[in-house]
Amino acid sequence: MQTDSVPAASETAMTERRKIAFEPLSESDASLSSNDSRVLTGAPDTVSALGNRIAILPDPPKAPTSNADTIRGFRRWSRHLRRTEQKPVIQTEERFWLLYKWHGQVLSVDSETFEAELSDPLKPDLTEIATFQKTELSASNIALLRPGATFYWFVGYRDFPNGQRKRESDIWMKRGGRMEQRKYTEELAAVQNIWRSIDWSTSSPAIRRT
Amino acid sequence: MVEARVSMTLIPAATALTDVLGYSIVLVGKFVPTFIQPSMLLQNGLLTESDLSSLNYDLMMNDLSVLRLPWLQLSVEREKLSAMSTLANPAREPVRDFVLSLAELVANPRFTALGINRDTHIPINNLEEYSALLERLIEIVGDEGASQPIDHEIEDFSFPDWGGSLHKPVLRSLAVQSHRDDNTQGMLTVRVEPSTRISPGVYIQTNDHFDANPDTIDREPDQLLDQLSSGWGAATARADRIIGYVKEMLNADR
Repeated sequence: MQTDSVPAASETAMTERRKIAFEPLSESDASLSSNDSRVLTGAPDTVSALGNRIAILPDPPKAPTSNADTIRGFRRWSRHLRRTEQKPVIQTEERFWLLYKWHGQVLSVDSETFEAELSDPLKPDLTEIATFQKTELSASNIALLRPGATFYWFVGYRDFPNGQRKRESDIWMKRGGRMEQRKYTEELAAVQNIWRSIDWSTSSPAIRRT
Repeated sequence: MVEARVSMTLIPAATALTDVLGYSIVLVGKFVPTFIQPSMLLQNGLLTESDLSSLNYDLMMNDLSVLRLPWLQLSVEREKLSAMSTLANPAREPVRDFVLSLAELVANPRFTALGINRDTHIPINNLEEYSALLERLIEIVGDEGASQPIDHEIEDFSFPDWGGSLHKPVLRSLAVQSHRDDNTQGMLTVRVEPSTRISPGVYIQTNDHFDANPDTIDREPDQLLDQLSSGWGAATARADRIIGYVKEMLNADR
């Protein structure tokens, strides 16, 4: 099976594939994936190869001859890279520099604002309450705004192809989560089973009231 | 030459505000590539109406479909689904949410492997820092250490010619795989290379790979989705720790 996740054949053809050899692992290790050879391979099924677009490096320098220690090879190659360092080109694509992000859950919504509880993924124990203007949201995001809805708040700088840089605050309402009909039916049946399984005759008055 | 055909922007390290990040999720199973129709995605809340104006399909074929949005690139093959963040929106949560929701819609799901990947490009001052990083990571700092004169010519290469099959071989990337210690099946792979996005820069790829448990997959064919929901925090923290460790190694030389 193809081991990279590169989707476009044209991009795949442009990349240079390289592999790294690995030491065989212990025969007794039971946590390996189903690899008959018991040797880990360099590219698991789930590797994404687009991240680096595969490093395309200058050719190695001339005149190597005999074997030597590995560290010398690194140094030589490093010097060679420095001499032939790739020159940066003019930016042609839009990119976003993500500086901060928070997870949020909407607590309440009124006509012009909404209140949300925010948590920093890096400090999960710390939560804050903030009020946002609804005008911060796009029309499609406003449609998803309701108490209990979750969102992500991204803050950073956006670089545009024309060289402009703008500070940006983006509230991203969580998509999906809408239950598929089949799943809904299954879940509903499960709930009904639980409901029917309750022995009402022995339940407390408090439970009966609910 | 390969270089002539590759078009991408190289970011000067001096202008990089922070790391360049990319996230991807790869799900292995049985898929019908043509099922990612815009109407279906819209109907099930995976896309909003505002997404439709920027929605592009590169391909829609029986064997492969490729969808692009400003915040997502999705490809679906018969045996693999790959979702990636973009440079314009390098956020992992929307990609995770999308994959989770889409996987719920797959008919007769049976997912055999899952990869949670993070691509990180770290700006550095010069490529010597990369060389020093590799040295540290593979623990081969020798007696000559970092004090080796830059201009001192070394006539030798470090690697043998592998039985005469390789000509002037050099080590260009380092990949390390580890076993899992979280009672799941799979492996964790970290790859370190010179970045082709930031110049000069270091590229670090983490592949958090999960294999479905063959003993229980018939009973729980979508068990791997738990790693995207309840296991998501642990997976992202794991990747963050790896990047933090590599940065420590980098900073140790500065």
